[in-house]
This record gives sequence, C-alpha cells and structure tokens, in this order.
Amino acid sequence: MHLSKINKKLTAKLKNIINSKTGRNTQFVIIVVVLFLIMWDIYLYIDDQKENISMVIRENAKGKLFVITWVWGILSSHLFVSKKESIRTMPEHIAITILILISIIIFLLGRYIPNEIPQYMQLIFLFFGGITGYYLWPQALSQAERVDQ
Amino acid sequence: MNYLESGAVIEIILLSVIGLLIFFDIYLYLNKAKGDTISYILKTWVYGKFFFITYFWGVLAGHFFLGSNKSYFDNASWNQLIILEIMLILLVFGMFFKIKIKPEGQIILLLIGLSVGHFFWSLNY
Repeated sequence: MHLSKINKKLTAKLKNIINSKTGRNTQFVIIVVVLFLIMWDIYLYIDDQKENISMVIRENAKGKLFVITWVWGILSSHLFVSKKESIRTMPEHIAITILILISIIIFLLGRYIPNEIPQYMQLIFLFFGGITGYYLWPQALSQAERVDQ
Repeated sequence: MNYLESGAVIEIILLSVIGLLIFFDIYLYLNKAKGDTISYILKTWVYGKFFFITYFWGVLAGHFFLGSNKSYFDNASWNQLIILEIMLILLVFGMFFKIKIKPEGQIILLLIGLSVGHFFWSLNY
C-alpha cells in the first residue's frame, strides 16, 4: 500500500474516534468508576483491613442476599452474550419487568432462609441467572458486528 | 480500626456507586442519543478489542461466589500472576491481532474466567 494511502486511512480513523461523541461520557464514567473501585480495594488490602470489597460482597452473597449472584448471572449474559435482533423472545420492557419480579421473589426468599447457602447453590444461581438473562434480556448485535463474523 | 473502615461503610459506598450507575444508565437510556448506555458501550468493547473484560467478569464471579478449599501453589502470589497473565494475553490478542469473538466464544471466555477465579483466586483459604 502506498504511504499516502496509509496516511489517509489513519487520519480517517483518528477523525472517527475524535468525532464519535456518543458514548464518550459513558466510557469516561465506566473507566473512572472501575479505577476508583480498584484503587480503593488495593488501599483496603494494603492497609490490612479486616474486610475489603470482595469479602463484603462474598459475605452478603453467601448469606441472605444471594440475589446478588443471580443478578451477576443475568448481567453476564446481558452484557457479554448477544443475539441477533430477530431472535429476541419478547419486548424489552416486559422482559425487564419479569426479571425484576423474579429478583424480588429471590430477595424475599433470602430473608426467610436462616443459614448460609452452600457453595453449589451459588453456582446454580449463577447459571440460572445467566440462562434467564440470555433468553429474556440479550443485547442485539449491530449490523456491522454481525458482518464481521 | 475505626468505624470508617468497617464493612458497613464499604457496603454503603458500594450501594451508592451501584445506585448512581443505575440512575446514570436510566438517564442515558431516556435521552435522545442512541447507543450510549453502559451496556451498549461494554458490548462494543467486548465484541471489539477488549474481550478480556468478559474473562475478568467470569474471574470476579468465581472469586466472589465460588472458591476452592486449598491453594494449588505454596506461594499464593502465583495465583494472581496466572490470572493477570491470562488477562494480559487476551488483551494483547485483542489489541494487536484481528481477532473477534462471537457470542459462543464469549460464553467460553466467561466459563474459563469462572473456573480460573474458582481455582486460583479463592477466598476460602
């Protein structure tokens, strides 16, 4: 390829990046939040605290709030496992309503369980959440992303 | 250890961060611009160059919710090293090679992350 062509391509790409305003703030917010959580967790870890973020999440998920595990499963398939638009099972708002209702039921269930739940139940909740999220609330792959495949 | 460093404060801060993110996402969903919600951005990252995020999400799931009972190495820092190395390899593959991961591949990445988090980054020991 000729040098000027490469140059043109590069400039076009850079322009694309600079001009794409949509989602710029969102990207910024995601990165800031994740960095904040990591730094804070490192601080808690180094300072030899009794608890850090992982412990807190774990203790809660093991106890009465195992709805956390379920939601984590839903989010796994919502964020990372996409589908084509055409095979979406139902309208998004109905699906979200159903998911919230199930989550509330699981949350209420957690209040009436006296002991810690065993570890294999966490795995079951995770998979159950993932499968439900996959069928009810997947994201659609855009045209471009589909062509790439 | 004073009150500011106890688990209760961690819970409050975590909850407020999550709450803020949810409100921010609802705002993004309702405003006019399309394709700027958090899930959309994460999806574009994951189906583009940064599919290490999927793997890391799985690792965190294994770390938080599962966990083996004994370490496989005498020196525990090997565990973190393995996790970070796999992440680095995935990042390099995504950045410098033209590799795109399909939805099936994302599921596999999640499962790999889950088992790595379970076996190498357990809170049980």
